[in-house]
Amino acid sequence: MNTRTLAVQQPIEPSKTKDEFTSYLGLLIGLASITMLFVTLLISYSILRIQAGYWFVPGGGSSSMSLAIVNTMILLASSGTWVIAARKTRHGRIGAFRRWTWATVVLGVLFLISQLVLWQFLTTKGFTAQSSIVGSVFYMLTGMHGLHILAGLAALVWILVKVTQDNFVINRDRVRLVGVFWHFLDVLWICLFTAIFIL
Amino acid sequence: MTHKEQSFISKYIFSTDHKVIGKQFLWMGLFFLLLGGFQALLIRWQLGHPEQQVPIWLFGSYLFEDGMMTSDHYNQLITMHGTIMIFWAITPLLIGAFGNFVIPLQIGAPDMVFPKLNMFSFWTFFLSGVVLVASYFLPGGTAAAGWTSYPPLSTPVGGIPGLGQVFWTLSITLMGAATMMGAINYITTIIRSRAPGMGYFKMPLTIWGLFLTSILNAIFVPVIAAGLILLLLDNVLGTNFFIAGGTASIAGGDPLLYQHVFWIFGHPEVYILILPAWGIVSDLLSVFSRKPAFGYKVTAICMCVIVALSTVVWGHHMYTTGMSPLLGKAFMFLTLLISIPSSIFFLNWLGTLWRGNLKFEPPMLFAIAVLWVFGLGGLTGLYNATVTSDIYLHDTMFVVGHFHYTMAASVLLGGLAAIYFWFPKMFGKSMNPLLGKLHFWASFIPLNLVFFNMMVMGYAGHHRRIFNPMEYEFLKPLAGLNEFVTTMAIILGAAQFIFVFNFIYSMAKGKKAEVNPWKAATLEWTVEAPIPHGNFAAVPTVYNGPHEYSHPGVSDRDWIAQSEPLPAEG
Repeated sequence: MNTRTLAVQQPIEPSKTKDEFTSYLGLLIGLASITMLFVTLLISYSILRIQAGYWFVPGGGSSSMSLAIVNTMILLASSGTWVIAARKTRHGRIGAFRRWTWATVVLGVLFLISQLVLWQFLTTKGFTAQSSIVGSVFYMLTGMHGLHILAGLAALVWILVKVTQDNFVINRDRVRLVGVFWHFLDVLWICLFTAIFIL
Repeated sequence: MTHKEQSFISKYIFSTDHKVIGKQFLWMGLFFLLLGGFQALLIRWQLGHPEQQVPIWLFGSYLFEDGMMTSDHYNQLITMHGTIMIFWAITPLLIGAFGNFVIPLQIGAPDMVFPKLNMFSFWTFFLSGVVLVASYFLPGGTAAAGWTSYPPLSTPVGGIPGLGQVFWTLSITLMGAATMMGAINYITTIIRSRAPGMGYFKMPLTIWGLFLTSILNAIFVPVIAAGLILLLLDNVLGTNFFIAGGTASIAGGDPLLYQHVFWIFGHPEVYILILPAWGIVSDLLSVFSRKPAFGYKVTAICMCVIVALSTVVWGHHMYTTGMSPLLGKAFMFLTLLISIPSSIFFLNWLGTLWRGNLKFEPPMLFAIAVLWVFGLGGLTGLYNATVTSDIYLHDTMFVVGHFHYTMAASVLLGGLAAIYFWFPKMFGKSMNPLLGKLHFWASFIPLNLVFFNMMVMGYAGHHRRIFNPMEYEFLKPLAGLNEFVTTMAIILGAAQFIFVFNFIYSMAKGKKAEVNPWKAATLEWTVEAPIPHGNFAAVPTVYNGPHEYSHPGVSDRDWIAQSEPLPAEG
């Protein structure tokens, strides 16, 4: 472990490099695209909801709501562990960085599992994608978000693989970029949660 | 740039070099262009010669039982012709091929900023094409709900049976993902990788067009992706987003929602397709008039204004859906506003030509043709934009003629101009100019006779998407015109063999091209073909605008490259 930490005696980077800004710009354009995707889905949701004339919280009760709140907490926690992981890169603490990143990955996977539990719970109550337009919207939005979480998890694992491949040198640009994406997914979920369960 | 030996696969197949990827897009675009063109001939055959066998030279007996086209075949043809031409022919040619090839060269960059993403973009695009073609081998055939795929035709409830729609939806979603990756690359490259001195208002207008197109792509392709995902779920999972009706307990979806989502993307898509062509034409007119582009900045700003306006006019596709008259009027007003910036840069084009030293090389002929077809298409657009006349013209051949003028003819002629113009740089060989001119006239005349007469027929009441016009008493007087249009379409199709021959022959046996055969000022003409990976030996410094022709300060020739300082005035 000590040899690993020694290998990454990076100086503290002064500011964002030109290349990093370029990558940021690319990422931002990509995030703008994903935002447009979800904005369109949410607008479709609102139009369908207005036209349906009625709406209800999926599952109709507090049990589904509390499950969803637990899921939200898990995802929020994963953003927290990621913040800690990213901090560890500042002093090149590779072991800690990897541990906290793994924690983020585990929380992400846990979020997906608990979303599936929520799906399972609602399905057994007869609330399916086909049973009503409310169900169609719910499973579509949560499913689309889940797919993006999968992409985010892939990015996190990719970082861990890269760290090993690059002889335990952390590319901090990469860490920052993936971090932006992961937090974005978190914020996105909060918007979706609000739209589905609160509004 | 370090050079390591590359294997054949990494050099030509999974290449990260923007020039190779550009060529890959070019091949794919040309392939689908031929396929889409062939489908157009089949459609025309059915309209011109209904109830007759499709002849053997259109592969009638191979494609259809007894050579007789059925209405199902016809519906599949009109769907796939539109889909292929828009998403798999024009998009890869103008945006994929020339976007990739030209952007880094014209802004003085070694490559795209994300070369790997560029490669993924192409291969995602390739996959989307494979899915699309695979849909033909489904038991029920491919999608048949029209290129717009409106519900209910595109949904399982009241729609066309079979998996064709699912494949169609999947392939367009993949295509959208590929386009989005391209857009990220283009925008970032143009913002970050311009050579020193290349300010935004020193960029060639081609770059402006591609830049704005990419912005629209990044914003609006996800919109259609959202719509397609909902459509896919309706088809695969049995949801009912776009399925009307419902019961007391289960609310139904809304078919009109799809139309809104489709056109929120669909109208910007028109500009996505045409902006690169506008840019290319603006540059070519200047090169072949040996004059700076008239009102260069104004043209660029007008294109930006159109981009902004294009996002708020989608409703003009939906006047007949029962929208509120007030809303209709608002959309009409906004749509008609577009004619102001378009007229301004159209006048700029004429200003560029005015008293220029015109060189009628093939690229110039095609560029001038774009002015003609876009002018006509734009003017006829006014009738479609106006609610009162559109209610009559909606869903007639007038609309078909109009959008073929604006979006098909002008973009394709622009694409052909681009091919003739950049061929020497892409392949290091010159194309035969005589064959080029022959190809031009043999395409341009029948093209106008086809699409103008479509508008005439539409005005006479001929609906689009009609399988057999002979079934309708009121269309019988148009039979002769229909047949004439079909003949012209066949001539137009045959003329493309001149191009194919010229293209292949020039690649194999063409004369070696000079470094700067057109005496153009932009940066790509300062490097000799074949351009190595990394493009420029040294990063060029830009001193001049992109159109420094016939500058009074330069005496020995009538152009000066962007990277050459002007001689001191004195």
